[in-house]
Parts: sequence; structure tokens; C-alpha cells
Amino acid sequence: MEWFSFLQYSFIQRAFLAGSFIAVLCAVLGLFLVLRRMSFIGDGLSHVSFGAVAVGLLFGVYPIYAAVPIVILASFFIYKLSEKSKMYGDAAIGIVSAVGISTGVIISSVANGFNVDLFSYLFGSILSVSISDVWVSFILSSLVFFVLLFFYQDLFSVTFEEDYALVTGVKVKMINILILVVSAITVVLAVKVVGVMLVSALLILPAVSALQVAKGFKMAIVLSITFALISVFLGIIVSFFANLPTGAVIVFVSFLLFLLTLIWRRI
Amino acid sequence: MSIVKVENLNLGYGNDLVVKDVSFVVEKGDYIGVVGPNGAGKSTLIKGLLNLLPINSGNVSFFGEPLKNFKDWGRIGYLPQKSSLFNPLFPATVMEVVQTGLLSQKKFPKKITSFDREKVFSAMKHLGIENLKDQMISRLSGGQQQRVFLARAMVSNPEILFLDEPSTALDQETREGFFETISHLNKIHGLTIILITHDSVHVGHYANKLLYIDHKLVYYGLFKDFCLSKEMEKEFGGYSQHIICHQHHKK
Repeated sequence: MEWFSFLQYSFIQRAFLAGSFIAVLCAVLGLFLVLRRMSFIGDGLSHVSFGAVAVGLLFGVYPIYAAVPIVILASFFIYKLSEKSKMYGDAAIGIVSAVGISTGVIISSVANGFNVDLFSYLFGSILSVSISDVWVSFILSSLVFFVLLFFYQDLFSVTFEEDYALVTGVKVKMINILILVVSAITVVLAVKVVGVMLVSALLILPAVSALQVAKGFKMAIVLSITFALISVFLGIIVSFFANLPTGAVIVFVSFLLFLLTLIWRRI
Repeated sequence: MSIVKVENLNLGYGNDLVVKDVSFVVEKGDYIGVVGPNGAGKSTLIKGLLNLLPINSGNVSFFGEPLKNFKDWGRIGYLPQKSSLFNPLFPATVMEVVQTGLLSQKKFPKKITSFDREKVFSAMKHLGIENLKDQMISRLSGGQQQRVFLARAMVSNPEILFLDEPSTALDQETREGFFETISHLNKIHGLTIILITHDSVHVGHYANKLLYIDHKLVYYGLFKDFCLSKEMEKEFGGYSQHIICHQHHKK
């Protein structure tokens, strides 16, 4: 029983709660991103969220409140840049990503005093989430989850075969924008859990692990959620007892699960 | 009433026109073979008709409704080119794929009901693939996949079916079986067919109308009239005309 006593700590309870909401969200969205070959949108937007958090800290605004609109705007910018400028999507992500991270670095060097706060977003700080962080995570995760649920059939069709979706009257442009907005919100939330540097791993690893073994799309969703939850739970537990950085351990557990699915597939 | 009416259609990529000033009318029950050289605009024409490519100029209407206002996509079935098909990593089952053919009839929030699942099952049964319903699409053979995509195109009970080079990845035996199925849908169920193919030699065996395009419309009309046309003999040469018509005569 002694072993479970760490669950009495309220910061651990908050970490489990916020981590679970975000894990489920990343797991579902990650599948659509991986299958649409948009995996690196998470990486790009997380870099923007670093700059956005710096802007929030500079003006004394709660970082997530500042980051959500800025990262959504950045996602629109990526969309327009790749659509109107006839530029490859990954090049557009690269540009926005670089500008985001440089904004953060410039602001942190100009304004002293909040570097510790800012750099906690680089590698995540799930063990320091406040009760208001948990509420924000819950509300935004629920919102995004319902959007994914309502548009599930359209998302499935567009992800499977975009041209055919168009012929069946699916508003493909709107769905593509929706994916970007949802990605932006998810990335901002996930930055708190695993940090800017590792957020794309939380989006990609559970999804690709599920894709190794799933025998249907619904099964892939269930497996992706399961892998993400296991990663977050085990990551928090192991990091607590081994005194290791939680975000990095979460990603490492996720990677081990990916290796297991690879082996499972070969058996 | 005509099913499709195309007037002075110009299509292309930017300012480069691939389809120039094409006009034709599709009537109910037609089986039209769209043929022409590689890069002559066959697929571009279909993409323009299906709203997958913006129209440079001209008019297209379905069932009397201009394309830009047309919403009733459930009346149209589409089987895309094999090479442009789905993401092979996608872990979708046959059932999940065929269901997407019903989205044209759904309003937000789009939900698949048990009645829809019955329709999906019936479409699969009609094409003899009901035993594959829980199989992953990526694990099926080319012929089986093509039947799944045909079931997806047919599940909304369309009045016209567009097929873009459907036999590219099929062996000869599977191809013949596939085209027999399409002919059956045309003859027995009165489904209007527009088939794009590079195979101008065999298309006459199934189609009753020929649309020959080489950027511009070279010929549109009944196959038998094409075969008797002196003008077309001059255009293609007697030998080529004979090759195109040979299978139609055998029919």
C-alpha cells in the first residue's frame, strides 16, 4: 500500500487528470495528422507556442490564454502560405516554426525575470499544473473532442481519400482548417505536459504504434488512446520515483510501446 | 431531361488549357466510353465535371441544375483512378470504406445508422464482397479493392456512374469480370455510365456511345455511327477506325 501513497499528493492527482485529457486528445488527433502526412504540424505549432507563451508572460497574461489565439493564427498562416504561395506544406511549417522559436528567444533575452517560467515550457512541467490548468485542459479537451466526434465521418473520408470526399459533397477546405485549429489548441495544451521539444512525440508515437497493430480505424483510435494513457500514467509514476523529467519519461515510455508494437507485428 | 449537359467547356491548370471548347449531352441509360491519347484531357474532363478542378469557362449542369448550385451528390457515383486512390497506411475496413459513399446524403452531424449499415451490406452483397466486410482494405487484391470502391460508389444508389481508368491495375480475367458487372448495372438497372479508358480497342465491346477527345472534342455520338462515318475514317485512317470498331461489331 505504501507504494500507492504518492497518489495522495494533490499535484500528482492534478497531473494524472490534466495528462489524461490531453493524452486522449493527442491520441485521436495524432491519428488524423499521421495519416494525412501532417505529423510535423505539431512540431511547428509547438515552437510557435513557445513564442506565444513568452508573449503571454511578457504582458502578464495567463500563458495558455495568450498561446491559444496566437497558435491558431499561426496555423491559418501555415495553411494560407502553403495554399496561396504554392509552397510545400513542410516548408511553410518550417518558416512559422523558426519565427515562433526566435520570437520566444528574443523576448526572453529582452525581458529578464520570467526565463525560469518560459523554459519550463520547453521540456514540460506536468507536475506543476495548477487546478486552473486542469480546468482549462478539461474544457478545451472536451471542446476539441466533441468537434472531432461531430465531424468524425467527414474527417475519416477526407483522410482516407480527399478527392472522393469532395465528390460526396464533404467540405474538404473547412475540414482541413478544422484540423489545423484543433491541432493548434491541442499543441498548446500538450506543451504543458511534455514541453515544446517533445510535443510532436505525444501526437505521433501513440498513433503510429496503434497503426502497427490495428485492424480497423475504430480499433486504431482505441489503441492510440490506450497507448497515450499508458505513456502518461507510467511516465508520471516512473519520473516521480526515479526523479527524472516527466515529459521526457512520458515520451520514452511511448517510444518503448512503439517498439513493442513493432515486435508484435513481426511475430 | 438530360443527365449531364456540357457547353463550351474549357479546363486546365492555370492558363494552360487541357480541355478546349467541349460540348456534349449525356442521356439516361447511356454507356459512354471516353477515349483519347495520353494527356489528351480525359481525366481532366471528368475532374472538371465532378468539381475537383475549377472550370475556366463554359457551363456544366447535372439533372438540369448548374454545377455551382448542385448539391445532390448522392445521385452521382465516382470510381477514381487506381493510382490516385487511398492512403495505403490507413487501417480502414471494407465496411468503413463503403460507408463513406453515403456521406453525400447526410446532413450535419453525419451519423451512420443501422439502416445505413443495411444499405452498405446490401451494396457489398450485390457485388459479392459481403464476406470481406471486416477485412482491411489494404490487404485485399487489386480486383477485390476495385469491387469495394464500386460498392462505395453504388451505395448511394446513383443515377450516373463515372469511372476513371478503373481497370489499370487489374489482370485480364478480373478486368473482364469487372466490366461485365458494369454492363449489367447499365443494362439491367439503367445506370448511366461514363467510362474513361485508354483502351480504345475494347471499349466498344461495352459502350454504346463514344466520346473521343484530343484536347478538343473529336467525336461524340453512337459507336455504330462512328464506325460508319467517312469523316472519322478520314480523321483516324481506315485501319485505326477498324481497330476501335472491331469489338463493337463483335458485340
